[in-house]
Amino acid sequence: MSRQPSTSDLLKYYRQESLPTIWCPGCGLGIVMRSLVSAIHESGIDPDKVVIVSGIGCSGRMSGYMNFSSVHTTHGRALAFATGIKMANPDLHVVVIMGDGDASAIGGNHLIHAARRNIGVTALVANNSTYGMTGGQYSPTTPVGAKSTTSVKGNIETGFDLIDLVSAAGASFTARGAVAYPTQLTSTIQKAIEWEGFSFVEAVTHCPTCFGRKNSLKTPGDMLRAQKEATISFAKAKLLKPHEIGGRIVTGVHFMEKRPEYTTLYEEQIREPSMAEQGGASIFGQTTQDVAAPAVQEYSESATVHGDRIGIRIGGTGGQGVITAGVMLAEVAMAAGFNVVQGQVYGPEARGGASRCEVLMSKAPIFYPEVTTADLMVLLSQQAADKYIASAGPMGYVLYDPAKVKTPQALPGRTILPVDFTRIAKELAGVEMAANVVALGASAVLLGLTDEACIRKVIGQRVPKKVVDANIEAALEGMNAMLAALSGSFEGSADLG
Amino acid sequence: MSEKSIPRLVQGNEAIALGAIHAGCRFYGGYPITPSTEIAEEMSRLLPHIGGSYVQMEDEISSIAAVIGASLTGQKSMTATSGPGFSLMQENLGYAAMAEIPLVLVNVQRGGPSTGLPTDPAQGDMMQARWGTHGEHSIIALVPSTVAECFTLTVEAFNLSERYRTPVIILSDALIGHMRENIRLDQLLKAKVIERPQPWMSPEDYRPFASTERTVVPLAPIGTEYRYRVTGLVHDMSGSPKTGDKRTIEDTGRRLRSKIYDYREEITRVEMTAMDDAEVAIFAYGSVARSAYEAVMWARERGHKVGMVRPITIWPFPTLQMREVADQVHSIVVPEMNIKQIAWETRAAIEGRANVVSMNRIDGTLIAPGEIISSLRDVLRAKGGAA
Ligand code: SF4
Repeated sequence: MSRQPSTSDLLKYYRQESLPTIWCPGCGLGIVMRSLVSAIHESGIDPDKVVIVSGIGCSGRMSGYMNFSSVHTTHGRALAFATGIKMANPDLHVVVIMGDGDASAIGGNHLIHAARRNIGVTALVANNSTYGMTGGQYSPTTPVGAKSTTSVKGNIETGFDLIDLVSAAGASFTARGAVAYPTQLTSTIQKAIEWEGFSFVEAVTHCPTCFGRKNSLKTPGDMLRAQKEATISFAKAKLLKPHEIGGRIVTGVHFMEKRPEYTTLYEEQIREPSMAEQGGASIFGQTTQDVAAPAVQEYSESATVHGDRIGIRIGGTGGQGVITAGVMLAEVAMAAGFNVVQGQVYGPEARGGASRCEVLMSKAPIFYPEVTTADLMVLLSQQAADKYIASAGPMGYVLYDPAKVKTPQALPGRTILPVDFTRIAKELAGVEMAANVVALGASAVLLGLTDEACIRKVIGQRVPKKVVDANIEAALEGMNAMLAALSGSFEGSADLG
Repeated sequence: MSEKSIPRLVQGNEAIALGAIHAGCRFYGGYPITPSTEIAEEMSRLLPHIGGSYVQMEDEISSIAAVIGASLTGQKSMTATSGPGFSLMQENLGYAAMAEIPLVLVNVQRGGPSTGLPTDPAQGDMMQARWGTHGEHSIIALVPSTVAECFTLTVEAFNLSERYRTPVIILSDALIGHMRENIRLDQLLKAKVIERPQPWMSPEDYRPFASTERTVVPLAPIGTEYRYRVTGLVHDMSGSPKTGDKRTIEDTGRRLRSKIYDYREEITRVEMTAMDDAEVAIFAYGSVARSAYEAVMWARERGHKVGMVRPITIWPFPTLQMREVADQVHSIVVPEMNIKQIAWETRAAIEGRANVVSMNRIDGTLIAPGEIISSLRDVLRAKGGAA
């Protein structure tokens, strides 16, 4: 076991101006701090790259006494702050000091998740089994029967074994030391700091002021003696049966197993080659085009549905792709020089029940973003028809899929037309799922957005590659069907609503 | 060669992510919550391409904690959430205010309290944004009304957070967050970005919490030769806790307020529409402002002298601007998707200079232009005009 560095070696690691500490005489926290700076000294790491993060309570003040970058955070959250620090700068050595309350009560969630992620920070828990700063209430590590200001008859809650807790959460390094054996505590902390993944060290310490006095350990000396008597090394404990170990403090490294460290995994598996390396392409994609480029869209002034501000509502059932259809329709309108707003209903309503997608298009700016009455309504399910048909605008068009929707009752002023979205998708495009895109094609015709090239481009950008062709086919067939239905209606077809 | 914009259909939440990337954000810590989740999804996708990182934390408390930690290392950092998560972030939001750490927090508002209306818009967190964390502090909060503004105000939020070393909140809502509009990204990308300044003094002379002429000292990245202390306790200019020194306590508290409050004319922006000869003003923000524009058009078409004031910055409150408005008009109509949160603030700001008419809706539905128009009608009629 290594020699403890001398006090003169260590002075430079303390902020002289911040001393003396606020800790009570005889408190174990001073020994924990000395072990920590000794370990940092021994490990030879660059002190400029050390960041000490602490929580709240007597232990929380430790960060400020040491001459490193230090962040004294909020109660229980030190590990969460540390996670951000390490993620944003994986080169740093981040040591997190917590008390038992910090680590296992208010911050218990962060402890198990830091262990699970295996993020490369060291969690050093000064466990004195009490809330010292607030005057000695029981904590999640207070032994059963121990007295505190909130358990005057003795604690009835079973305490955590912190090593078991973090092991179960997946910690790759777990160890325990005790302030009664500072040399060993130092070397344990040093191993933890040098560990690549998440390392956990429980430093068993004592709080004479709050815990000792209430539990017949009158002086710091009594507490240290009791701690010494209870301590047993991990090597020795391994030879004993669990009942023989009982409530003893088993010190040493309990577990270490190499596992990929979180920030390293992120670098290896999530990090993408930078955009600059990809030939300077911008993360924002192409945002401008050459004016000389041929216009890709033409807006046909012969639109059947027209007006200053056109409201379109596509109604269906979750899974029918009504939102995709609406988004693509909005993009086709946008390419033709319209301002567009697209909105949709989210949440439970969109999962199974009637769902809808709305598009507003206008040459003028669009302020109020809701479709109150639809100039064009597309109905892909009975549920949607029942729910939305009443909002068909006075001069509006309603397209419905006769395979899914019973023939709606005629409404004065509205033109109600059946279009075989599902049949066309299945028979002509070969993909029944593309009924929404057939509807897109049909709608585009009514809106005068008949630029095929533009529709192809929009579909190409929005649907999965392997179904692009089928979807384009569906859209084109939808356009044909709509043109046919329109000429039929002009001839006075009985389909006219 | 002359070029023209390619219009792009973008969702409000997506625009916030794009704005953040443009602003130089390189760290996102978050926890999914409707209706803000798309911001996390976009950031998780975009950040790895530009040397940034995304981490999905175990809750909203740790999300903002991680963001503070990342910001301390020198990375511009953000998180996004909605009502319940915003409540959980309040303690650490106060930490960021106290320790003067720049970050951007997006709250895509939904109906509340509690789980409330997860998918519907509301503006119920206006006061929580101002006073949600305990203790005296200042805060900056911006309110976008369009998808384009989701982009530009996110850039502005980062700029303000760096300029004033403070958390900045964006108060979007479920409607703006989820709707898509056409934007011209090439134009939006012209938004100016303020880089985080680096300290000019040596590590020995560095006092991270001193006050300067320009309000704040640059924040040195932690884990460098600038080994300084950060704490949520009341501290002196070097970061040492000073909870026993009354003078330091008072000075620190006042400085945290004045470093923003004294610059409110520089920070606070409002948009005036048809206000030149207005006798009535509609004071509307966020998604409600969209309906208010239509009400103004309705009124102007009928010859009523109605204008609109839209706060882009809601905190610090545009007190001085509203006093001027109140000196000009007889009534200010305040439609909002909460019950009088900003109407009360307006009343307090204008100190009786004009009549404040509040109108509210809290059922998760955007206030329609017609509803604002009927309030206007009442106001105009009360003044004796035909409406
Ligand atoms: S209260 Fe206990 S833990 Fe806190 S400083 Fe005193 S002895 Fe140490």
